[in-house]
Amino acid sequence: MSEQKNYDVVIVGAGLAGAIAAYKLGLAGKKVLILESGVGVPVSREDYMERFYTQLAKTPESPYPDNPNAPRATVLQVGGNGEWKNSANSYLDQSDSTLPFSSTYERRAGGTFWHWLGSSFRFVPNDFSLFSTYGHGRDWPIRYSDLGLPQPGRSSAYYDDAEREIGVSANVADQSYHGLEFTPGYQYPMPSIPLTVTDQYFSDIINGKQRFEGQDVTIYPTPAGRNSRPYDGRRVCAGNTNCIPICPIQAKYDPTVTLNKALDTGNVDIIYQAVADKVLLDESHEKVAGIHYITYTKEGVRSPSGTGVAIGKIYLLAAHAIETPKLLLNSNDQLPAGAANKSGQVGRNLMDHPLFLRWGLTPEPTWPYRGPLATAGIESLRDGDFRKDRAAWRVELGNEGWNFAAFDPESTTLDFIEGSNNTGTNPQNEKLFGQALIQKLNEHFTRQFRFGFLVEQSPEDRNTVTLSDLKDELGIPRPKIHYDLSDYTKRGFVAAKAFTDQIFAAAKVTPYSKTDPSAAGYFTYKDPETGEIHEFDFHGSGHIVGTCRMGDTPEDSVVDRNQRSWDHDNLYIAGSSVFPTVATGNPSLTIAALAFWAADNMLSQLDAQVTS
Amino acid sequence: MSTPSWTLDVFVNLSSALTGVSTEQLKPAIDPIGIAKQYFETLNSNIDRAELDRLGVTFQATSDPNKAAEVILQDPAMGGVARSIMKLWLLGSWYNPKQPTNAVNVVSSQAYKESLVWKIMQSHPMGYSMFPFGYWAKNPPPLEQFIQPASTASKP
Repeated sequence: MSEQKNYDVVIVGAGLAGAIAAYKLGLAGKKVLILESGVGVPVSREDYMERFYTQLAKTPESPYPDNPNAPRATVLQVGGNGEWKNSANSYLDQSDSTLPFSSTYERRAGGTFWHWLGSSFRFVPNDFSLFSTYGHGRDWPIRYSDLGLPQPGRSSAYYDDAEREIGVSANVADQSYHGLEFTPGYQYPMPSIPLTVTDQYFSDIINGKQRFEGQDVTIYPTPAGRNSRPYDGRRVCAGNTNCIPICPIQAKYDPTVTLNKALDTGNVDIIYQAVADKVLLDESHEKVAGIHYITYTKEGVRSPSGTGVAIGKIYLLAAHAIETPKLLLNSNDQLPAGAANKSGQVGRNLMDHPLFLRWGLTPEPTWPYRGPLATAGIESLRDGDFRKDRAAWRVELGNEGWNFAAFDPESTTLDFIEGSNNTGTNPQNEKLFGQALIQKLNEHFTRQFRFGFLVEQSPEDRNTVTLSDLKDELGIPRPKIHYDLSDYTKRGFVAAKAFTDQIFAAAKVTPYSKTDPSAAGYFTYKDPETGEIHEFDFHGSGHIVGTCRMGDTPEDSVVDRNQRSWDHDNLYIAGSSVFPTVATGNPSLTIAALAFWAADNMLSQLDAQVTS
Repeated sequence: MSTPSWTLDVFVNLSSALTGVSTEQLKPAIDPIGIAKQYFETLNSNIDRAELDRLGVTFQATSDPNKAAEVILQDPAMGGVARSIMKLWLLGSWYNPKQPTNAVNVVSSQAYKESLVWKIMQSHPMGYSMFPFGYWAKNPPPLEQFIQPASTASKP
């Protein structure tokens, strides 16, 4: 067993949060060791692209090889007809879950951000006070101003730092809804990405002309971590329409950029293929004494090769919101409930944005399948009094036609070749070929459109990550999931359906959405007043949050407002694990902003230790 | 010497009739990618020679390629193979005629990039764009600039 010591900070996870923290700490002259369970940054992304091009199912995982030494969930493991419960076929043990947790993550240098879409939203002020403002969920122990305006003694806000590091394209004038405020004179690093023809079609019909439940419906350009100018040595976006699962040209930011900067400081070491499996505590159980890890040699084959312990003055867990609590819970030799878990909240309050898709055909061509996957959304309905009664959502306008919603262009093509009607667009069961087929397909593909509702899920302590009795190939317990949706969240779906009906009618969109009772994410909601039963199915948005939440008191949270464990004063947790609620924006920018803040907190603590 | 029933050229002519795309677009004179040959070889590895010969003979027996394609598509045995040929060109994937909605594999990364559905929708393959920044803010060029229609002339 090897020992890695004399480090100031040991970080578990080389994803977004880990890379940012390592970079800031390395810049400040601190000695950092990162343990990354997966493989390192590839020399070129062409291998990932080749793998992607040849996969039948173009899932978020499709470019990235499986790794039995650092396994992870995949979308294909969330099968319909109840298959998602079959723990023989999936990494997550969901055998006892009510609904499938459907979001996935990557374990490799750069982490899950390889396949983020790029959407870089600030949370709106009321997102941080859902409970005191609307009586639902929980408050964060911090407020928008802590991230969105410069803290005392700083010239930039943490959201500004995040936007600069990622390289976000947006205009402040388009992002000032729901009380968002900016550092005086703030400018985003790059101007907004141009809207697609689809966005423009809907903006003309909606903006200034539609209201829903007493609020204006307004489409805004989406701030994105995607280059609209050459930036930070990377090229401008060429509209590959492939952000998820991979940008072929790295016009979309990914954390390998920040990781390389961290390594270039000369103060950051990294051990790849090192799976952290135990947080070791000192005899008093008050301080972390080291991180135990297992090494392996080959990504594609079970190949354990040894063990090690990494020792630092401070420790940062940044392994995303399923692996981080799993690591803490597995550290149960010294404390039966695991490390950092006196509150009992480690692994609890698992949340996602359950994603609701609605799709149809526009009356005239809007030419989807062009540009980034999403360039605009409806942000005006993310906040309001309705949050007392039902979940908020933001609405993403998809640029990829029915690719996600209905497995197109394959589905429609098969319908008109075979004479089937799986998409609903071939009620006459036409079987076509030649010019007639080309014309028919062109008419359909060029008019396909979809909305995606990212619905705010309630924090619930019954939604959990625990340790399964089943183990992975290194002998580490697999994550066991229990997951369900609250009535508050389901009522959000009901409103989303009503909103779609209204807007599709106004835009003359012919609806084709279906709900499949055999789908993994199928659920119903019975309206308590009318008795009407609504049917829905949801997907994961890829937003895994909540399992090591921050709070004001040690009794019901895992870390304090500085992202430090209440139980071990040399342990920090970064990333979306610490979110008390999932809020109404994609989590990435807030993960990055919090990582900058956590780095400052660790630096203050390290410097105080030196002087004391 | 009798006319061979199943050759690369016969395959390309049949493919043109089935897909509605010109033979020049399916198999250009200067062809660094060689996708027609890839698909031809995929067929030859998966379908009996006798069936392919019958396909070729039937196609060449009728001077109007459209009529020939109709006859073939309606035939209980040949129709399935013909539809698999269409899916090769349109989707870049091999579908066994006996399992017409479950693709077996993507033929190759070039096949994915060359698959015709992306041109039919006046765009590019997801994951492979040669267009410049901002192209998506304007309408695309017309379909005729993406797809060269098959000649409808009967063979001499």
